Amino acid sequence: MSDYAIELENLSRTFRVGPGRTKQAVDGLSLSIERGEMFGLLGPNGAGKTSTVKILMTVLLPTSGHARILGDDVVEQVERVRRRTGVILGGDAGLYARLSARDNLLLFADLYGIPYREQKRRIGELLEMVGLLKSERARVETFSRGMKQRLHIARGLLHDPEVVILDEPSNGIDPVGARELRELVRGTVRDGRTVLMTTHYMFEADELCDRVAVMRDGKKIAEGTPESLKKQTDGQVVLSLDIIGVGEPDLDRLRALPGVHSVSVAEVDGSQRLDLHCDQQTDATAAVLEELRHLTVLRVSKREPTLEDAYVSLVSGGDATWTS
Amino acid sequence: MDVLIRRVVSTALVLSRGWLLELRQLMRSRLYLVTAVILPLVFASLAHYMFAGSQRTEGPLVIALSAGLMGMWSTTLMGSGSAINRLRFMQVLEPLVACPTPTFLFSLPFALATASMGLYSLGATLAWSALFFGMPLELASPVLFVVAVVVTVVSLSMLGLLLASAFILYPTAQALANFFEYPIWMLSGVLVPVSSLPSSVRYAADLLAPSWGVKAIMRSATGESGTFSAVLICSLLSVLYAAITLILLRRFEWLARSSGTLALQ
Ligand SMILES: Nc1ncnc2c1ncn2[C@@H]1O[C@H](COP(=O)(O)OP(=O)(O)OP(=O)(O)O)[C@@H](O)[C@H]1O
Ligand SMILES: [Mg+2]
Repeated sequence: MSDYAIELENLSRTFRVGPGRTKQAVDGLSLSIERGEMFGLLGPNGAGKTSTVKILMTVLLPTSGHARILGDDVVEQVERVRRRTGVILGGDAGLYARLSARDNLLLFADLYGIPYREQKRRIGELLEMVGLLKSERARVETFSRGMKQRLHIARGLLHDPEVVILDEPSNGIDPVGARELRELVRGTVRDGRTVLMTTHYMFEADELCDRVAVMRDGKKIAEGTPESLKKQTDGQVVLSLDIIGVGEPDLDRLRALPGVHSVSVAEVDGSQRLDLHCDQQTDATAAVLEELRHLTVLRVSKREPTLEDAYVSLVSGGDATWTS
Repeated sequence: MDVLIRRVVSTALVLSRGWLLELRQLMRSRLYLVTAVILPLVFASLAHYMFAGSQRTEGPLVIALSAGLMGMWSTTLMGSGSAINRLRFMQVLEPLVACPTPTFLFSLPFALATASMGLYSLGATLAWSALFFGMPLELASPVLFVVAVVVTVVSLSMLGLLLASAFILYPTAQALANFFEYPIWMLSGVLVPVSSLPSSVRYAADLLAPSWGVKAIMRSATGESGTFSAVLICSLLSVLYAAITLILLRRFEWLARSSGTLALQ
């Protein structure tokens, strides 16, 4: 019997993506999440977050390795895992669109074996908690994205699970709605309940999570508290340039400059935004501009790194790994 | 004992709620409703005009019944499979599989709902035939007829569920099910009398629960003997189908988790 709420051991999952071609979605992932912990799994698109979640919710088998929830193996002890885990997959779909919010919950209450006597009270409580009591009789197809997301949360908590797993709870929600959702997610942590959530946003993880892990290409590249991730960028500045026509060879030359830790590019309105993480001591600005003198530089600025910068630096950096 | 009774009661409640909610969803699809009203009329007219000019010697009752059974057939046999694909499309299949309840329990309500629609389809075709094409309304033994119809529709939905178990695994299984519809029609004697088929094919027909159901329905309507034995065989085969489906669904759920096909791709 393990003491951890969620334990991944060298977990891997490969998909067939065509004749003779495979894609490694999760690659040797190991994690140990304590009971009562709120844990964030971060990573860019395609990092393997959802695949990991699906293995934990027992709808996908790992290709190799092990995953345990409250000591139960997600392959061997499927029913026990399902009874004690609540899964909240976000998104526009995933609900019975033609049924009302209440009918959706009733259907799943049955399937989770919640006794008839308790169903009414439990569903009432949850609808109240997620603020859908007024719209409980309306069909889900008429719901806004945020309302659907809140219904997803209510459904995931129906059987009062000990472990809750959320996949990108605020994806596609406007900032105000997202803040309300984060409040809701925070509310799901009651005594001893363990929460694992995936997200694209570092600030979200920072606000909610005790610890985070960052994934890239199926692998864990970092793990620790949000604070320790912030510390990573201590003594650095972010040099930000708007530029036109920068190419991969330019980036390689920039990365090789002394005092430059990482370089990331984003397309912004027809130009490119380069973010370089540099040492505060060695001012690399002159050297950088020298390397880019054959290109049109529209704007140069310098700023203190934010938490998001720390994350971006990690995800776009070379083979940087960091643990604490 | 107490535990057992409670289990049975709660399972019955789960099934009946699932059935009701599935029907509610079907009723809220305008396209589905329109087809449900029009199709029996089409079948009734087709049967009337086709068979009226043919060499077949059956009375108008048998002709109307054959038409009604065809409608019931399409509705029931295909219903479960399309229900599973609909769930995949709505991305509900994964949350459903992630429930601790066996897949069989959440699939059975589709079978029940489509069976109800099948019953309605048969009734509507018979009603249209009586109204427009002068089908006589006397049945030789109405009670046996009702029993035979119920047993048949249950057997059809069990066969549908058996085919549908493949839908859990293969999103493309619709083609397979469509492929089976016509031969199963033939084998069960809806289109042509089974006696006109080659003998090897006739043995295959004997393994199909619905073909016994059709026999029972025809016999009870026309007053031939042997309704009861046909009902019995039909029921036994249905139970066998349910058992096979239970095993297949387990196996297919495992394979679908392995291939990752529960998700919409
Ligand atoms: N069923 C599947 N078949 C084939 N490839 C898949 C399948 N599911 C996921 N993948 C691939 O595996 C990789 C990881 O996908 P996954 O959905 O786990 O990433 P993610 O971190 O959740 O990304 P996002 O932030 O975009 O949601 C991707 O490259 C994806 O294309
Ligand atoms: Mg994802």
